[in-house]
Amino acid sequence: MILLPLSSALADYSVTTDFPGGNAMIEQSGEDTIRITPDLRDTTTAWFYWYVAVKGAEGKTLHFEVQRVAGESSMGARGPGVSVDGGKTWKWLGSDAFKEDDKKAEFSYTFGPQDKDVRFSVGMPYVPENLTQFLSAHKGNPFLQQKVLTKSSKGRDVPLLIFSNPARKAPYTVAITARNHACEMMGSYVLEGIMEGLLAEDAQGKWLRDNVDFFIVPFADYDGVADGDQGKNRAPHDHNRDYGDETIYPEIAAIKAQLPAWSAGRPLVFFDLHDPALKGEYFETLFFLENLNESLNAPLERFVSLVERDGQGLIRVSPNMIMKHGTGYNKKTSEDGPPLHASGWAGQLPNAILSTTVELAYANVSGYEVTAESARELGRDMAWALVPFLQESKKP
Amino acid sequence: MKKPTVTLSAFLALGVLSMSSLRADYTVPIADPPFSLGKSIIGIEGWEHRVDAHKNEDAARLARVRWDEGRPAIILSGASIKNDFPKTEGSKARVSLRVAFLFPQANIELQQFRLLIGGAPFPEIVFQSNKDGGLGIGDGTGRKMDVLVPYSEVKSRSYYTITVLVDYDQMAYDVTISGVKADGSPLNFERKGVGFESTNPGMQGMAIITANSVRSYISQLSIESL
Repeated sequence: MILLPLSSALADYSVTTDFPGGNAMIEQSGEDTIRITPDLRDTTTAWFYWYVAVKGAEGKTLHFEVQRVAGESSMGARGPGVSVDGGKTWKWLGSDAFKEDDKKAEFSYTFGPQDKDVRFSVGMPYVPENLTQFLSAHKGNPFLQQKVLTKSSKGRDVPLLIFSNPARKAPYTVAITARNHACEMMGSYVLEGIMEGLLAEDAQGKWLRDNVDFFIVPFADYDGVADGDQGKNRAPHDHNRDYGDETIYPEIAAIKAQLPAWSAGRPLVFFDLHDPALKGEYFETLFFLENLNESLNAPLERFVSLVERDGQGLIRVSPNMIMKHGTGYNKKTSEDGPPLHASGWAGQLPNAILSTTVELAYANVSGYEVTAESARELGRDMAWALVPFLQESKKP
Repeated sequence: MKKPTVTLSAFLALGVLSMSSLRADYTVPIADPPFSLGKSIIGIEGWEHRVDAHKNEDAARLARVRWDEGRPAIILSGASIKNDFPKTEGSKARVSLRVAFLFPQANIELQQFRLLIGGAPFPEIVFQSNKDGGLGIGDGTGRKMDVLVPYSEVKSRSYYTITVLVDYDQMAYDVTISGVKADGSPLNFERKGVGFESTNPGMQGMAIITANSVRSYISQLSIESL
């Protein structure tokens, strides 16, 4: 059996990955069975990201087999994400819509008469085009400045978004990075929600615009997102292990150089948005990770309690969603040397008042469904909680 | 003689909640905004902690609801509060409530919203978020309920208007529930003429108890003598 890494013409329909974010090794197994294997590329461990388009299958029912990688599942808790509008919007096929054994997960899909291009993925992919669509809705907003952080390793312009009142310098600063691991797309919807929150015409949005400047890097591994890489555990190390002394990626070098200068000593809140692994005790929930800088633990507790208190989103946040040091996968200590990851690095900045990694599950947070909408709502809740959090913090 | 009526009605009014409270036998200044956005309702308009050992000021607060076009509501989470309104009079009384719930889709026990009304022939209005639960009338213990809208049909974070009209002459009450089902289709539930036995007409005092894991939104609550 031959694995076709990019595109496979199959009878009268095709299964492709030749679009932004596309990823899979594809093979045909029988007339109407498509076998999909996540393409690890330079990722050194088993990982699960895949994203394909099926074109020209109107009226057909196709069967999909999604292979495990080194025994690890490539299917989330609510089945594959499905998009019938070219990746603009997504739905889960459903937890009852697939079955899984120790080798693969299987599902079938019946294409409607209009289904010329249907996307399937382990998640709900968010690529630069999605950000462009979001930003186009806010074109001309004087608070939003679209800049270029730097050139990526492959020569692409890496976007940097500055949200700032041009009339004054705000007393507080917030910096947010997403996609330090390229495939972790649900964090991008959280980021959209935060941006919606700070642009909103409600009391919280107005306060944020009056008092906070935002430095946002939507795609820290821009090439990885555009090319559909796993990003996680990439060789020789991934972008979220590049914040130490030996930085090799231009995006991370630019963040490390520009963010401290931009914040200019003003109180800084830093969020790094991630998704964890697919299934299991630590992965089907939401976590805010305690920082290596212990002085930031109490502020994190307060922030999360404010998200819980004031949150109105579809995902209920609770204080037990703080992952403390020494628990779960938050086990790095100061004895391991300077932090290599984004929130660890930011937590060492002298003006940091809060720095955390936010890990939102791909599909299931303690029984609450994760979707683009509910992830955006989480972002709105985080934006709202920033208001009392900063109001309570020491005046700069 | 005018009949007593308690009305808690949350509506938008320039950054604060205005509450119209009509009680014929005692006075509540309607023009005053007794609640404040972002603050606890405890200590205002008769609301108190139900149990001294369970005083969580954040458990019942007023906020604008983002998904309800910014209209204010009392948001409850882990609340145990009471309001000792005076006894209703006359042959009829009506309880009306506009309420929404945010709840996980997981089947977990003891995730409840309970509105208990003293002396009511329907001891409590309950939402129980598990496969055997839903929206309905409870027996006052929090353990048994008559499910009127099954859990699978209740949409998370969507308002339901529940009205119970009690006729003491006829010794029966009617229940209506309107809103939207989980699949987005309209919900219009009605049950008429539920019989009861009571030697002591009238309702007096209420309590609201909510689990931490079910966030409840109340945008309107009234108990009226008709």
